[in-house]
Amino acid sequence: MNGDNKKHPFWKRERLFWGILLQLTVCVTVVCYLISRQGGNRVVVTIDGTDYGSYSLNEDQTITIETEYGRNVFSVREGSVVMDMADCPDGICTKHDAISGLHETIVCLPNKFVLTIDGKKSIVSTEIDGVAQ
Amino acid sequence: MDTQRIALAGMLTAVSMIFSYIEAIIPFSVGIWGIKLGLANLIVLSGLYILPHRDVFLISITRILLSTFLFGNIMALGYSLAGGALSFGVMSWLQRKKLLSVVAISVAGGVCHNIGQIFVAYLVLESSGVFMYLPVLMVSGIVSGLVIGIVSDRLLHIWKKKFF
Repeated sequence: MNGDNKKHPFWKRERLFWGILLQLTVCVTVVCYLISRQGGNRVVVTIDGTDYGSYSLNEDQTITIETEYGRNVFSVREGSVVMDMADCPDGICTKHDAISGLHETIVCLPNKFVLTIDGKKSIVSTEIDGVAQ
Repeated sequence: MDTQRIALAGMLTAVSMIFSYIEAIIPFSVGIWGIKLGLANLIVLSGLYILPHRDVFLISITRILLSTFLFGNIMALGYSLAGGALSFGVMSWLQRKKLLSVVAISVAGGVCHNIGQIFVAYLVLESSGVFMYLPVLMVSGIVSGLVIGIVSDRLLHIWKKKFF
């Protein structure tokens, strides 16, 4: 099973593999941590790849959005966002931890519904308060 | 020889179906989207050492299709196929080259499975935010790969002694 048919002995290749894997994982984790640490000021709703709207993180609110794919309810509490309800079969997104860091995301795969924290200054539609278009 | 191959392929398909079923009835969720142990990968990985790789690929695809239609989420079919195909490709290549141990191949497969799913999620949802899941999914791929790899290693030792 452990063929030593290449230049490097088996254990050397094995050590190389684990080393690269470990470094790659640490790098990816650090990069994602640094990005999310920046924080954001609004949550952007994307449905099936199209921007639906964005809501300020500064005020607490609960928003219901109903589309052809299904119904999702999420709320903003003290700058973090949680998915309260989704009518999809698994409901995995409702068990997701609250998000507040830049580009952090909650995905509801069956409803093609994505919540992402954004940091851009312009807040497009804070007026839409709990009403689905 | 051929009969043994067909019988073995059929048996492994059946066992991997049972593993899929076990995973479907025991919810194994840890707060974040899509983390699974991937018990069926045990069959794919072990199969690579005892069957032609073409057979193992067919076992894997059959397993994914059947288990999705029977007790899976049809929405997740694309994700399962992409993850399954990518992890199979990587594991098959590594096994053929005899570069790494069973455990290392299993870990590489687990990580690739999750990376493949993230790419499909990116294509489907067109949201780059899904890449923020990379750290969690990479670590979970490593952990599940370790578990599956160690079990597979033991399994192969027993199989080789008793049957082949």
